[in-house]
Amino acid sequence: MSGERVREFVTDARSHQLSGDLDRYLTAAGRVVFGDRTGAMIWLGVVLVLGLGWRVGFFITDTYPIANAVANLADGRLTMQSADFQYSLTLGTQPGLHRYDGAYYARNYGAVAAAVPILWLLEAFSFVAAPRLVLAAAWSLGVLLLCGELARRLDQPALRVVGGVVAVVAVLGAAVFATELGQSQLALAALQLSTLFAAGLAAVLCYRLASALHGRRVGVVAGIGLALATPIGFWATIPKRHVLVTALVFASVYAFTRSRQLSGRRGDLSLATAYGMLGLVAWVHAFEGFFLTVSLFVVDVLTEPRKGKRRMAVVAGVFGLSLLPMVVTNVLISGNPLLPPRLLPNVGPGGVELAPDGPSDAGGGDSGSGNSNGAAGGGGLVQLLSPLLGLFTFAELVFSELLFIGNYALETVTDGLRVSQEADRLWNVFVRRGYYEYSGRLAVNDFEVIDLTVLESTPVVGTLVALPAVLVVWLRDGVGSLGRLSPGRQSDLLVVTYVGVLTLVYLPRLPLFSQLTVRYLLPAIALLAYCVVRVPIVRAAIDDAPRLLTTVYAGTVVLGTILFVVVLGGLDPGLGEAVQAHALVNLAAATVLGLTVTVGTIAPNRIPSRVVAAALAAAGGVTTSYVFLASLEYFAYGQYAFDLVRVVARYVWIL
Amino acid sequence: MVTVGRLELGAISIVLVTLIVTSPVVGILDVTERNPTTVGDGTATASVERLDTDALTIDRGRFGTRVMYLRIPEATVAVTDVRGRPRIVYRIRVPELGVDTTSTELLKSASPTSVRLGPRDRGLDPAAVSDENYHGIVTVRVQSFERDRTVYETNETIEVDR
Repeated sequence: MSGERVREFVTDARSHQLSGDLDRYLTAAGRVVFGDRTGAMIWLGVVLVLGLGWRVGFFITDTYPIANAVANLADGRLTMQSADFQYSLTLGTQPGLHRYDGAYYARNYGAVAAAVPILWLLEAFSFVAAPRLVLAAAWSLGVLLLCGELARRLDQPALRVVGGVVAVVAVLGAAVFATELGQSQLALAALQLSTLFAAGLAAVLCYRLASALHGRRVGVVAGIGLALATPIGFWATIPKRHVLVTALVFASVYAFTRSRQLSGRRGDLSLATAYGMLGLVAWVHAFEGFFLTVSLFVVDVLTEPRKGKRRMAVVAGVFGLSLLPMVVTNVLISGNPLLPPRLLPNVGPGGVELAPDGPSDAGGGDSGSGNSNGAAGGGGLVQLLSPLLGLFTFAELVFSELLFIGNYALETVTDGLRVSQEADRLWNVFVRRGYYEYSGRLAVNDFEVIDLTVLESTPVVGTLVALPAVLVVWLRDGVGSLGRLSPGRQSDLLVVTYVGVLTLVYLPRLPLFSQLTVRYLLPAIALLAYCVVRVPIVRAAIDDAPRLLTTVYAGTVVLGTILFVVVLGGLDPGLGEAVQAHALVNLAAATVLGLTVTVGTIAPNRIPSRVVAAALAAAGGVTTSYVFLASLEYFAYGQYAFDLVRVVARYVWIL
Repeated sequence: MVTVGRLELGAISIVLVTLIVTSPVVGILDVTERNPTTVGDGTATASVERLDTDALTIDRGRFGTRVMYLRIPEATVAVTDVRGRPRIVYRIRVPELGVDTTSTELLKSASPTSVRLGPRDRGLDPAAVSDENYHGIVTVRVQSFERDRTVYETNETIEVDR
């Protein structure tokens, strides 16, 4: 063998090894995020289905500053001047725009940052192809991939043909009906894609969580159900923070649950991830992150009082790292690591939810130049000690901020506890809203009663009416040892705490206008929807009658949607009337489901599994129906990302 | 024989070819040009085929909404001789209630001869609707950057049905 050949051989081997390494890393990364192929397919399926309802446009004005921040951050600018606004040029139309030191900032920078790489990708593709067609082509290829995998799994080769036909029709249809999607829209599109992807991730993590406790079948139902049968589907392409926070919260619960199932290093890393995800939540919304972290800490210590040094070190290290993005962002903006943009002076209209009033004067205030002033004009000793003094000032600042946050937290929780005794308020948040005088501001939405309660927007949660019965049965059958809870029970405790805390801190602000599906509570609602599969007879129903569950669900979605279109179309309702008609149907479905599960739990022999499965599927189906019609007909804004959907939606004529 | 695998490959090729053909870099086919979304210059001949002004009423919202609604009837407009990109504007005004609502439809040369416009019913503050009837103005126009022509205008008395 000549030297040349050897060198070639070695280079070849190296490049092989390199690509092999890359492959391995990609596979490992995929495994970390999706768990397995099923997880990846759930993500893909959710993104493809919910993507159909995607309208490129602004649904809520709060999105303007965030989209502006995405456009600017992608260009490498954190600070914005008025000239940098790509969307909505005036200040008065951008709620949630903050001002500090002569520059403008958005908030929820974690959400902004998540969209930036997607924007880069979109921009890169748009160099060589029309953006509209890029989206369509990606959708088509996704369908091919999904159908190929489903065909293999279900042993139905015909599905591959279906996938091929759908893909071709979608891309050719896109070419025929394509409308302009300008370059200037890409930042908004990227932001919407980021929440759509997050909705997929929330579904995947719910699947993994439920699978970890109850196996794959229950997991798949829980995952898909979370995306399609809860308001997650409604908010998937409306780029508010809620879906992203929900995905991170599910990641935290899943990681916590695994930390109780695994031992050794993997267990430590899991627990650390549970905290780390909350550090990222803080980057999106500092106070939600704070409240969730305290909750996790309490549950963690209660259920595992004694920890090894290594475990504590790993947790502290990872949590510290996860806080870095928020800290760095805050330092870059205001110089104060614990002063999130949300607390900076608000220049847009409207107030700021779940944040103390006004700028944080009570805390450290602005301290952009705190360190340098300390040593000015001092003698030699002072100069020698100046780094220490700087550190001291910094510590003092952090301490006073923590005190401020603690005070605020206490106030918020007390407020929440106080209002949680107001039956009227609870009724209007959780059960039936309709026309609600006290929410005021109906004029904001042209007197359209478009807000739903928790139960109206997520009827599957009706299952939890049976919780007292479940608890009674649980106690009757013997709890086992209370002192040592099983991983599942520890996980439940965390879920209940998260739900309780998230509900409590937002309750004083609810009911509120333009919540649509009580969006402040979206992470809590999603967790409650997951809790449905923790109810034993629901799981039994999923295991015993999977085919019936699927059939009834699909039937409700298809026939229910057609029925809504025909009946409501005949009544020619206003927007608010249509939404409230859905509310009543959903409430009925929730009631039936609640009763079925309650009776089934108390007297298991009275109610066959098939009935429970049908009730669950119907409740899920009517929700999906609402989610579809909401984007196809009720809430019209912007333009569909996929023009073919626009063409079809023209035939849906209700309002 | 065509296998399923080949069919999939074919589908992938069609997707990629479409992407290339429509690419602005390649410049073979500008697909978005044929589907304008905004009004431009142009004219059209239009006449109202059906507009049931008796259906223009105010009544109470159903399904527990408890607000008042201004019910707005659908309008069917016959359109011929479309040139350029004009649009049809169907507008309802009730000045005393601060209502001014429009529904528009962009006309393209390939448009159907009959255009259906259905503005949404309009929610009203129940406390603000105190009279027995209100005065409303209904217009249908053909509008473009070039010209703006009213093809239908009527004054209506809108009954309140509580």
